[in-house]
Amino acid sequence: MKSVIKDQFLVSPFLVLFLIHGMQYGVGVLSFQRDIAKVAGHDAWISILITGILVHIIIWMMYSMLNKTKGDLITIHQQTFGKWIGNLLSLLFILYVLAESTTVLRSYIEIVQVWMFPLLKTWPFALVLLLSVYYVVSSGFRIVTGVCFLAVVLPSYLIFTYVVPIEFSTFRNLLPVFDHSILEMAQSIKGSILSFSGFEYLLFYYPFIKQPESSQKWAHFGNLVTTLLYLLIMIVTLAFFDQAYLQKVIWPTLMMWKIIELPFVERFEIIGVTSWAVVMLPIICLMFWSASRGIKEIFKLKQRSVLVFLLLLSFIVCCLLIDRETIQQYNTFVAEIGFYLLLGYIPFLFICCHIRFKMREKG
Amino acid sequence: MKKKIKIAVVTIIIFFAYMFGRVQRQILDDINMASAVGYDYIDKDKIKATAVMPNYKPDKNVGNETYTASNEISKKTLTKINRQSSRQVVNGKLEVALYSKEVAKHGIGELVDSLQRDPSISERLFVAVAEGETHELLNKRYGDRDTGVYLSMLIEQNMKEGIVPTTNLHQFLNDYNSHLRDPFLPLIEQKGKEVNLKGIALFKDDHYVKNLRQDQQFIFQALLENLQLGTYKLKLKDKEFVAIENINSKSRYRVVNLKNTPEIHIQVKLRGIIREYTGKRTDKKEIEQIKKQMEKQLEKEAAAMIRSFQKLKIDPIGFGNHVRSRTRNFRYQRWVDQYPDVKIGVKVNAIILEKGVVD
Repeated sequence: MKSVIKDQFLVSPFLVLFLIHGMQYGVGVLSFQRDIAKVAGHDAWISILITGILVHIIIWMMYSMLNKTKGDLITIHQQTFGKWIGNLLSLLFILYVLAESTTVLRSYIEIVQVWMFPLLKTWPFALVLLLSVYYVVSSGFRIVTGVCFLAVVLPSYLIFTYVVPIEFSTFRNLLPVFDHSILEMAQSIKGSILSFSGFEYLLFYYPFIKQPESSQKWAHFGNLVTTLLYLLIMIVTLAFFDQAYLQKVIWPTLMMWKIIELPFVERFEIIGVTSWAVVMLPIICLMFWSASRGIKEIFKLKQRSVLVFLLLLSFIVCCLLIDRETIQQYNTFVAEIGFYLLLGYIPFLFICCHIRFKMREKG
Repeated sequence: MKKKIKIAVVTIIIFFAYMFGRVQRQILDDINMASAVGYDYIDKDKIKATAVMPNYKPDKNVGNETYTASNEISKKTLTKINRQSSRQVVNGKLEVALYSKEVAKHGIGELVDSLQRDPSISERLFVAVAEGETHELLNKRYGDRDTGVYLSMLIEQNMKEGIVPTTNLHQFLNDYNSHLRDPFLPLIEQKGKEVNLKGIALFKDDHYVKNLRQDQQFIFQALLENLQLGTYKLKLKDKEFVAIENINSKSRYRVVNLKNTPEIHIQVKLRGIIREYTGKRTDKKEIEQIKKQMEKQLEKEAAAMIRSFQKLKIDPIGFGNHVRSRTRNFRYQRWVDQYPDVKIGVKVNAIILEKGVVD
């Protein structure tokens, strides 16, 4: 069952840092504040911290499963639930990956349409983006990892831009700390776990890591970077906006960029949105890579032809989402599934997998 | 063969993207960038909008072009203005938005919406209320610049000097949308050939209610933010004046009795330098006198100002946020009911650091 991957296709363990962080830090960063603050108010930053810790636990769970099976999601499924049910579950997981990739793609195009070019049509832009996705993914996993690395390193200068709004902030907004009930905090986790999603693709690329067991610390480190970065953005946002105003703003991060004034550029958010193309591209790439790789493993098809089919599918769905309301609906739908998948299904799989292994050892 | 198909597909995609993915180009020389916009009141559901556009002449002179149109929605008026202009009007370089007092009295909520919804408008835009018609104010040319830039420089300079508190579109929208605060805006007026910053216009929700008296302006700012370069003129007994400059202030809020009716105690610390004095000598006794009188005067002004705020049920300084940030399970409605009767005491502590180069 297990297919050994040749040494030349593997990546170094430390690159997992970029794979994890690069996947988490996506389009959601531009708009995640509002959903969390809706329930948790000015305590939203605590929710980020709690979620960060939760994600650490889930990463640990995934490593524990993967280290045992020495494979990927498909082998875990097959070994735990048997061939047929296992493959069906893998297929459902891949379906979610596809849905999520379309969310990312369409959300980004929407941002470009709202903030830069209102007249831009969806399909030509999606077509060009997906063409570059094909180019990256068809070159293999190492190239995808390279793009992930670039996506973390190149836009890292944007971290300075989160400091500028402090000039107009009132940090008194953050007080009093812990003013929300435990139930409200728990509800807000639902909003924040989605901005952390992206680490679950580890289940797909795990076999492509050299000495995969040693990469665990890098995965945790990647998640730590994400947590700290989100914490910074969240605290600045809460201080910058009044709670009632924050609920009105769809993209708080872009709104914060609007306050930045540079002598050579009037509108910084244009640069921000453009930089986000670099941030967003590897996410879509790795999603398509994971989906096509999964299908290849299950049906023993050629990865490239699967990829073309998936890209076409995503393109069609992307073009069908026309206005803000449908995009919103689609996003919430995918987000809902994502929440249960990350916080419900992966721990469930973890338990099942371990029970199965215990049984096998005894029998 | 397969490679040929691939190349063909890629070429077709790029061709299609190039053909259909193009957006309208905006060349700087072919557009008119409005630098200021003003709104005047006509009747209940009609407003008049005036837009000022700089006109860069070949001899390096900057002229003004003003366009006026009236309609129901401010965005609609912009398209109407577009019809008059020979070049497309865009609002990406808007620096100042003015509302006439008349418009402000009737509520600017609908007009503000066009500013907050449009992504091309800067968050650093200055919003101000104008005494009289904005149409007349904007139609004139001041100084050697176009009116929009002139007004924005005027307001910005005064904010840096500490004459009016810093406000921009972001802060205005923050206060306007907030449940706990009410917005305020600088008030400007046209006086002959100049434009003058008259004071501060106070709002309740989106309605203009009154403007702050000039003598209360200093303490208003001291309570609102930490001043860096304030100036304060004090009238001593028998026609003696003293001007204190470079005042930097720090205010500390203390809220007690949070369970029932909160009480707010504010301590304002001022440090300033005497710049002008019409009395005879500035000896130790005299300085002590000035200090005492300044403290007393400011406390009196503050009390009067806060009382007038409470009477009007407006909260431009944001006492509400101070109470909220110190209260667990803050109940908004209770605070609103309590606000007119809340005891707010201001204590001023002035220190005179220097008195210039002569005694």
